[in-house]
Amino acid sequence: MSLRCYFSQLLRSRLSAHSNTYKNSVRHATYKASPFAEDIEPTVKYEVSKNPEEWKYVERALPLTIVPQPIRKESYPSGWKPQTEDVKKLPYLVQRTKNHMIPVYLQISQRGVRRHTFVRKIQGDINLLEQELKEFLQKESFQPIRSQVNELTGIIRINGDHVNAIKYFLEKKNL
Amino acid sequence: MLSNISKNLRTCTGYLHKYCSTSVAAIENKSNAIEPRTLAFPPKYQDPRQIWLESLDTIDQRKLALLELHPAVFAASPRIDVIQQNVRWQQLYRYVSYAHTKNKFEVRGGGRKPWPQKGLGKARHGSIRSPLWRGGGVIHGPRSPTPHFYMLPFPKRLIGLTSMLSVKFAQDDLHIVDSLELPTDEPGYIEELVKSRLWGPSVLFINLEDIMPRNITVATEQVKHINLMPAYGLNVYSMLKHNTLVLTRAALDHIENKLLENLHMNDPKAVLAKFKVDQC
Amino acid sequence: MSNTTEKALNLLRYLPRVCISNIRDNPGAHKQARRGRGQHGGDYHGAGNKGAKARQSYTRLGYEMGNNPFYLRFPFEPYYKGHHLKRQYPPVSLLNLQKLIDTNRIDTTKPIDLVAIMNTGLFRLYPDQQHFGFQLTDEGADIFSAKINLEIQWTSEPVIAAIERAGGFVTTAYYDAQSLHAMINTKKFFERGIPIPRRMMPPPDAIEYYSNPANRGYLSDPEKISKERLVLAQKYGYTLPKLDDQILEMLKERKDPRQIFYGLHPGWVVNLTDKVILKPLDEELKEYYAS
Repeated sequence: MSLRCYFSQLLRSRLSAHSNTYKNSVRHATYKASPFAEDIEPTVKYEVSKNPEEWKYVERALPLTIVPQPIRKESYPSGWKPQTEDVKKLPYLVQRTKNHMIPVYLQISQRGVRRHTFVRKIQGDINLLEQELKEFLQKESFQPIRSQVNELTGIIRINGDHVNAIKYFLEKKNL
Repeated sequence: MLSNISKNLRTCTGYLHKYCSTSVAAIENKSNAIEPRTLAFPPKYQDPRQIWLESLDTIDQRKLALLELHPAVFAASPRIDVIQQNVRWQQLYRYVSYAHTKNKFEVRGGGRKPWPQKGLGKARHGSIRSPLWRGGGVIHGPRSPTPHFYMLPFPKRLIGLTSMLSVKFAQDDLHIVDSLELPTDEPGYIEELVKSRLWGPSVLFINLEDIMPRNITVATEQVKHINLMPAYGLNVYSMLKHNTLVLTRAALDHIENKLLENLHMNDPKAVLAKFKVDQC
Repeated sequence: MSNTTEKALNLLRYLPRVCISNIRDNPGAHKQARRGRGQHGGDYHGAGNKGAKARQSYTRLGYEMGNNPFYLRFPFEPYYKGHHLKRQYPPVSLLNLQKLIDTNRIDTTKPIDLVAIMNTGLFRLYPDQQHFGFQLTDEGADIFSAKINLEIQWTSEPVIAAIERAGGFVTTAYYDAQSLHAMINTKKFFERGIPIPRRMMPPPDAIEYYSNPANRGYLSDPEKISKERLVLAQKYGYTLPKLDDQILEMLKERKDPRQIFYGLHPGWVVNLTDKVILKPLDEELKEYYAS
């Protein structure tokens, strides 16, 4: 069975050598590619079945390799919103993470005393975004909102826990 | 010596005469057969990059078609610090230090107490090879063999590859070729090709499979600075070491798709877990 | 819109070729591992003069100079009695589930069971820490709206009401530790090449829960379950929605009490490389796996 496996692999690699589609590269000089010296058959009687209906269930049980793309719907009951399509016309942009979520995080340090909110993956006019965020957050806060901008890495760091407020602000702008 | 040089000159000019072709008809015929590239994970935040598809059939450069490259792989942020960390990892993970110093138990002698504890007015000592003594053992010296194995986190290795490919593309050191088929197996041909196209003295050819066309393997066997590598062997150190990187179209598809899949990985648990040597 | 990446790549066009001799890590990334030749730590390295502390010869922690120490006076405490026998069900909320459905990480056109939840890669389960599956909590019960065929290990009444009001079906099912290991990492399990095991029956203290139609247990009578659906609808004040035939077929798909995966029977060996399924032919084995 293993010899058959090796030859079928070789055939597959030769046939699809000039295809443009992605395929697993074959490594010829490895332990797994070399055939066994003796083929040992098991003692239990079994049948080999190749039923496409049953194989669908196997594929259903196997995990996904890549994060699926969200589908366009009219409403999302959970409160999650997708990003706008025309993204290049905006003055600034907050890229979504690979899980399609908004990259706003809370960092707690010094035994819960220090709380910083980070907004990551910012492109474009980061200073304009910082100004607008400060204006928005200042309405709800007595203390002055302290922030730091890192243009190279595209991060704004704001003192305090404003994660939900910033997420609401960005979702309103469909970012 | 002169005869050697003249012989080389003759062979060079011979290749130039034989393999320099700029027939337009050939280009037109070829371009009809070339399909455009479709990018997996359509880029949203950056525009796709474009690159010429070339050929190794003739010494002169022939541009066959324009191909699109995914910006997440070929226009990623050029993180020089991550590239350096990858190079350091590649050099160190297999490095074993054989430096060795003897500790006090290993140094010859020193079993007997040199002089009695009390009465002499001298300092008290137990052996002549203690670390306090000249010629004594070393305390925290190098102990052979010391492996320096460590695994750089998977995301850093991934970003290292995308950064390096982006750097190569940005500095015009990346070329795409339809296949690695050469018309002849003489090393002079490939050397002349590289020289005339200004591909830099050292070139790294990347093919999809490890079994490569015969002519190029024979031609590059003797030439130390032109190397062949299968797609699974692509690494940051090799890309830095060679001036130019040449990918075949199939290798480009494979590498780009594999990197994009890993950038959009669903469950990174297996890949972020601590590295364990496979037992079977 | 400006982009720092684009700026950096444009800069590189006019800079010398990046090679091994002109790259470096960020400043401050590496601390020099070299020590000065002077004294470090003072005369006694912070340990003071003589005494047990300087000589590391003190009594062990908890020792009370001979009398029975506090940590040995009590051989057990009633508060942790039976902790090693209690089953734990890490929570998954209805809000979580709705988010997964909204972002297309879970397929609602197929029945959702533990395998589907683990395949999203967002939840972890540790069977060796007495985890027996997930429990569905009622956070998000008011906004939940998706027609799903859900199989969960533990849940409560308001959650069942929320799902049935939206037009779905819930079933509570028990999985033993070996089945859980197979379901958590299905790829790894298939690669082991062992036959799919039979799912074990629940332990005595769980049988009551899984035979109760009010909990939608998998061992209970389906007729009683449909009765309970009506009862719950009356209790919470909603009407059971009518369902299309297409979705109804999917929503009625249930597993056999001895089955772990949908569509795959115990005793089968799945070969992922050749994409075939090996089934036993011996009568004894067939009888055992079918029982």
